[in-house]
Amino acid sequence: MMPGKKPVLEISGLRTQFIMHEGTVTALDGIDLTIYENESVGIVGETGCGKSMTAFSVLRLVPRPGRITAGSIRFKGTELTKLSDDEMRGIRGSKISMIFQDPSTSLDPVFTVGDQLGEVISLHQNIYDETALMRKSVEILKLVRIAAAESVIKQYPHELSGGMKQRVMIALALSCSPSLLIADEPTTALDVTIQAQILRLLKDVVGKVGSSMMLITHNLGVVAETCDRVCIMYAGRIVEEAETFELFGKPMHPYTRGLLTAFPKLGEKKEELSVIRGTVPNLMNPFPGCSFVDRCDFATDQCKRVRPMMAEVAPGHIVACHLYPSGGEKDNA
Amino acid sequence: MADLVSYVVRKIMLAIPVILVATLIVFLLIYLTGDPIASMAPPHADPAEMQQLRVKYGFDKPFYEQYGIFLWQMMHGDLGISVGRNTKNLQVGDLLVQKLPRTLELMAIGLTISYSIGIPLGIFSALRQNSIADRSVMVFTLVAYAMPSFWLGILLMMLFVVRLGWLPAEGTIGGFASIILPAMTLGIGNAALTTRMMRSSMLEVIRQDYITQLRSRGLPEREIIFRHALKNAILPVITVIGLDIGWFVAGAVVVETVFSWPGIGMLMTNAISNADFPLVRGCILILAIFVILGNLMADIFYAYVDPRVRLG
Amino acid sequence: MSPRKSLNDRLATWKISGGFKQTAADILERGGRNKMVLIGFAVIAVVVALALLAPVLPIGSPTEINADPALAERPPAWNHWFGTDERGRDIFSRVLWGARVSLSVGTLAVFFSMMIGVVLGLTAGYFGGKVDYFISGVIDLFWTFPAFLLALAFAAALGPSLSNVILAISISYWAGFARLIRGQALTVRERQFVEASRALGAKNRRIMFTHVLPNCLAPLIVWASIGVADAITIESSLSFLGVGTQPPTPSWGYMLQRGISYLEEAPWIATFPGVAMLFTILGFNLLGDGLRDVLDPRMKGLRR
Repeated sequence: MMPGKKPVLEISGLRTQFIMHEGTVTALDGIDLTIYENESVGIVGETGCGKSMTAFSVLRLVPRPGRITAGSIRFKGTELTKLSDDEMRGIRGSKISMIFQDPSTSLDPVFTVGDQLGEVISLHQNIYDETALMRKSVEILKLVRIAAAESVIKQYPHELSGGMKQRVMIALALSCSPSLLIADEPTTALDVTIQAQILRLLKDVVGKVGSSMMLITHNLGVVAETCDRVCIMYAGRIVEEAETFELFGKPMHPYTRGLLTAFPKLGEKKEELSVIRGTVPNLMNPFPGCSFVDRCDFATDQCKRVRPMMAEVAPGHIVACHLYPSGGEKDNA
Repeated sequence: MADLVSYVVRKIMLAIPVILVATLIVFLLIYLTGDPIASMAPPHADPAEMQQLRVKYGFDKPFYEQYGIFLWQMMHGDLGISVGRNTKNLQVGDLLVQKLPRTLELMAIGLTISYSIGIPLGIFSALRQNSIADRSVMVFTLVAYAMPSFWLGILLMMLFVVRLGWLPAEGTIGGFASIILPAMTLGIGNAALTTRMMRSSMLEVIRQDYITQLRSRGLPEREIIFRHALKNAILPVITVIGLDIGWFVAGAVVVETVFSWPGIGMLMTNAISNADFPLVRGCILILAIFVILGNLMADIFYAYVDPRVRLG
Repeated sequence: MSPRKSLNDRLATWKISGGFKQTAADILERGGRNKMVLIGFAVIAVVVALALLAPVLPIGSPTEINADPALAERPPAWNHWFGTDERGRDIFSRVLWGARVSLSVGTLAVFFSMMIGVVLGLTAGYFGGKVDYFISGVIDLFWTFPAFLLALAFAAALGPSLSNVILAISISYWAGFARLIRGQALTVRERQFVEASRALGAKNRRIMFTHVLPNCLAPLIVWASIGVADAITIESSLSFLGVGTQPPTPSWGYMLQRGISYLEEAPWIATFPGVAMLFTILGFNLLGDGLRDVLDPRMKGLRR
């Protein structure tokens, strides 16, 4: 879809399942997603739809008893699912990094910022000299706009504010200039006033380092700010994908429409907040049709029986819904 | 740092009344058990003589006066005179000072054994949660904990002294050979507790977000466990050392008796069987002070390690 | 109406979370599936059964001393299952009778401790303020001090006898129960103050008492079970040191103490009472731990 741009991440047919003796939970049910160089892709969905699991699957950190049971994940041409543990470790933190949602629980409380930065840098860049490590660490901290970098280096995580901690996390993630940064709800745990700051920082810094970003969130507002393209996920499947502007302007999938209207907009008069009726389906029982069928106002008989395939409704805009029949072939943007 | 100092001072100030209460209880215990002269006197002793003795030793004075004298004497190191068979007329204070180092030795080695077994075993068990190895360790801790110290001591004695003849039964010979069995008895018993604590602490730490974060940075699992997880998990375990002292003190009394180890515990047991109340009183006092100091140490250490506690 | 029936009626009308019925149901249903509970219960049942049956079983007297030296220190045989001790007494019989001693001391001591603890805990939790401060201080004192040492001190002072041992342990072990009850009382009190603003008036006091105790039932049972194990340990240790039950009353601790001198020639004198002791204590510990897992795994921090 983007001529001339090389793909950094190509996920195709990814299925991640949790096999327990009560049953099998299918967290991801055939995900197709491509992220190109220098672009930010947002993954939006409600809690439990599998957004974080996508991130964990890419890094192969799916917690037991979960496993990737089908599909491929190609990172710059390398098939990640076939790598050994050692090789995978070489990629984590240096070529693909991840920042977590809650900075107060995601940093080791008994090590200083400097220690943790130094650890990552020396691990992936084979620099062991104390002063060189110190220098690089300060550099990175300045990059994430921490002014008092020299003193922050000596501090422990609990001595920092939420926003600072998140900056440190971003610094840690970008310290080795990865090609892909995965940000899992990076602002959800922060004060509203800090959220905008951090988002802007992310966008800038990712651009400076030249990485691509996979931004996971449940908040459409976040996506509007920072992402070039957006994917909407529901119950372990991607239901719509388009460039940000296009998606907000012309949402196709009933779920997307529901999400957008549920968000009250400034200047709009509303009597009631509109909601999408129903709740997320139980992922344990495999469902032959569309997973949104119980909550969809347009559901037909076909929707209950047949799973909709992705169809291109406009250039770069694909939807998986029977309202937009695909003609059979899967279209990957 | 300043808040740490104020916390320490506060805790020490609190400990003093606790020690005072302990002395009071100790004194009360002996005071309430009746007339010491009557219990020591032969059946048909002359009451007048008994009264003379009472006056001589000050047993006729009112309660608070006796207590006051007791405290005064205590602060000057005078803890009374032993009336026991083998230790008659010796200063209680001297006896205590003499035997204290033996008990300290025992506890020190016991502590070392306990932590040397407990910490690695706890980590090992946590990393293999629910495996056969883990379950066996859990069974071991259950049994070792349930076993009263003296029974464990007897078992070890049976094994090493009687069956294998490796070690001597009496603790008075001295040297490594005689301390190892009682120390092991104490150590293994406490190791059960330590193992459990370490295991649950480790399990708790491994579930934390920052551990997954570290993995996402590409750190090798071994570094994550032994550098990060361990450092976090060991904190609560180490801070318990001071509290373990209470356990050890209690255990020492019994274990010393089993192995005839010449420490405070043995001293106390003999004193009890000789109805040597001044000595019993002195022993209880010293053990109580030990426990209180141990708890104090644990509190201070904990505050040092976790700044949030200092406000308490 | 009998007092019991009216109590049940009153409870039925109050909606109590985790009350008697709920806890009992939990125990029976989930406990029945928990291995530790089952094993623990089985062990205790065996011990209790044997202890109760001791007087009627056709075994030798536990206290009869045989003057004939040839009968002393006999190894286990068909007529003396556990052998005889240094005074010719049948060890099997002594072990069983010792079980009676240990079990009665254990249960009575725990019972009395619980009474003391509940009363003090409720008082502290309900009245709050200075009363709470003072009682909490006392509770802390008794809690951080090893119960065994306390019991030893009391037993030494009071003189060795069965009842003194029970008394000594009761005065030493109550702090755990007090903490439990006090904690629960404080929680309920907080909740009650919220509802108190709706002017429930004088009902508060009664609700406190009838709400607090049923909610504590689960941890109380767990703590009690472990408490019996601890109490038996303390009693045996005291008897071992000579300040517990005195001969001729058979006590495991005492038997072990005698047995030390005969480890070489007659190890069975010490072995059997020791095994019985271990068995019993393990049983109560297992039951307690298992019940804790069943009723509320969050209680893990209860014992040090």
